[in-house]
Amino acid sequence: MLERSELRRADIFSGSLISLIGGLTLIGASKMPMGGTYGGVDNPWYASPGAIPLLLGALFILLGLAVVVHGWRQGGGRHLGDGVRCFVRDHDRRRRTLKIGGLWLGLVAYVLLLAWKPFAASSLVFGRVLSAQGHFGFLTEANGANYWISSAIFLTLFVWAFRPGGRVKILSWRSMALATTLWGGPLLLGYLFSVHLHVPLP
Amino acid sequence: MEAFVQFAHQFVVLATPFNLLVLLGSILLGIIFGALPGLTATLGVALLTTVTYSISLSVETSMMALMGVYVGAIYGGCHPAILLNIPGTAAGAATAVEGFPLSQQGRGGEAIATATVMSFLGTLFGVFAMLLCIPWLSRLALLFQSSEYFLLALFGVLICGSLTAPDVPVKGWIAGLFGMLLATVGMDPTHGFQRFTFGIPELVEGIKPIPVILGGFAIPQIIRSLTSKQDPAKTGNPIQSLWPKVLVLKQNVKTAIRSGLMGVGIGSIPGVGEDIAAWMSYDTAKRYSKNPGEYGEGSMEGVVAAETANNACIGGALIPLLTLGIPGSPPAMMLLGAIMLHGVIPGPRLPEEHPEFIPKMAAILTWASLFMLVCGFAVSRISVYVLRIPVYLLMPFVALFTVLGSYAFDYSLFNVWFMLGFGLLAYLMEENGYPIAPLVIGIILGPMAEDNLRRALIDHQGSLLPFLTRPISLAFVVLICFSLFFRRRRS
Repeated sequence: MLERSELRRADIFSGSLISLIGGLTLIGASKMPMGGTYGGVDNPWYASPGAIPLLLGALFILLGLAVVVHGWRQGGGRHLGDGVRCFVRDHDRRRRTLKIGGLWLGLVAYVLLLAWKPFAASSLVFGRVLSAQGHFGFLTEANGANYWISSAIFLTLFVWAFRPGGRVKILSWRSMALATTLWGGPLLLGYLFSVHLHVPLP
Repeated sequence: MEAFVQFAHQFVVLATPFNLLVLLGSILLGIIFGALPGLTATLGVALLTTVTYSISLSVETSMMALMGVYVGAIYGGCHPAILLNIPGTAAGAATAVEGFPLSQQGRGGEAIATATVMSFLGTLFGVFAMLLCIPWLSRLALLFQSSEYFLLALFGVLICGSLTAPDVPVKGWIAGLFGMLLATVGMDPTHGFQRFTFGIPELVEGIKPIPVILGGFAIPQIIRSLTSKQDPAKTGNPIQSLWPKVLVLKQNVKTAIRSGLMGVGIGSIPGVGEDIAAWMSYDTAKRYSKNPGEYGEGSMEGVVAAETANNACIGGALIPLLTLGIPGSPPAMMLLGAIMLHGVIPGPRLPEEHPEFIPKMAAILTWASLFMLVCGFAVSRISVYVLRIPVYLLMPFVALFTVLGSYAFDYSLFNVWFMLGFGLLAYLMEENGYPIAPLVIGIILGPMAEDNLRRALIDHQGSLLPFLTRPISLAFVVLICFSLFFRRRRS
């Protein structure tokens, strides 16, 4: 969680955002059928599909405003512009935010690889060396091959990016064991999921 | 009495070699999950749910696996807490305060043994409370009408918001109500009207709980673990005698009973988990202790209080889950989703529709506690080695499991995208002081709340008066008012 002073400043933004969401929910709910009949079913206001969203939207506006008022009263409004200035000046915070953004984008890139299947063609290569019925027969399928290579690349890049400490000797027993774990782990998981658990790979 | 007979019957029936093997594996997995910082009982249950569902295990075997992970993970947090002063779970943090000084005094083995025995007794305490309370509560729940169900769901969401908000309670309520709003996404069950689907076909069926739970609990944890300073695992203090002292156990009978009761009570409050049970019990034990000066310097009484309460909380959390369909703790939330996935609907009709299910769950919990006792002693000496797995290696694998788990739920990449988006939202919310547990409980209880509110209003032609004139409804209204004005005292 953020520090107390930053939290109070953030309250003004988050409270406003919640009120905005409340407003949008109200607009969305008001477009839902209310009164008369709908789909052959009686539709008084209290039974309509928009009743609960309407109620929740109104509550969000009130509670969002309560958060804004709380933040303002506790001094969050005094240095409202400082948040951006601090972020630009504070090297550590900027670095941490970039790290978080990079991490999340890394996860997005991994799912994109799984969906896009750039390594699907390697299934043909695996098809030449593995029998389709064998333990690692899932690699001869487009999904299986793509999953394994994408996952191994993802794990390798993540471990490399978030590994603390200095240089790594590539040709060492430690590095070899790490590489085996990073490339063997998803292979083992793929084998367990597709062969024993009968769960198709993404 | 009949419940106890049924329980004894199920205890024997469930003891097939396959079931016990599954339980053994899941207990060990749970202990690893509990011991490793960043991995929680909720995450363990969530990840295993998709596996048990995907491979179509029978309900009882699935429950064996899930309860095993749950019990193992709640207990497993005590190992790193005592040996390394790194609590694997929030519930283990209270144990670390007293356990680590004991370990430094050369009493680490004794502390682990005491924690193991007390966790076992705490779990059994929860089972006893379950068997005692559930038949009574089920009979009471049969008197509930739509208005009471709506108020119960609302109470669950609001009290969870009040108790889990780290900043101001209003943020907890917002999170819970936001969960209820997300639950309205999809096709309206009465009129078939599509709400907030924005033309996305995957949203027509509504938001699914598994991607929400995986995203809400796993992604923020992955982000926090990988972006914060990673300390290499310290070398643990050596374990000497791995045996509890009978005299110490005898001296702490009163503390254990009080902690067991507190654990069950706190567990039965919707959405409030084992960590609060452990801390509140520890705080109470300290306040009523004959030797308060020992606290902080290594008090076995503190270890007894925290460990008994967090494990007794499991049985407590199952009481509202099975009788009312309201989960008592975050792992129980996931368990509710898993039970429903396997075609069993928890609630007041459960004893009629599946009369064997509640004694079965009590029997599974008892088997799990027995296996936890054995495994706890067996892995004590080697648990320190597991802790040496660095976070930078562990968390990418958790991310991989999270992606596979979201996908395996119904073989849809949309779930994975949703999980990622929701995970980022959950992280940002937590950073701003909005808790995630009420949001998830809101998503789970939202449909129940909406359905019953509409039914109650239709039954009474839009009048809100029955919400105040029926005694049970009025009691819930009072409880809701209490939850709104109750401010948690944090120690």
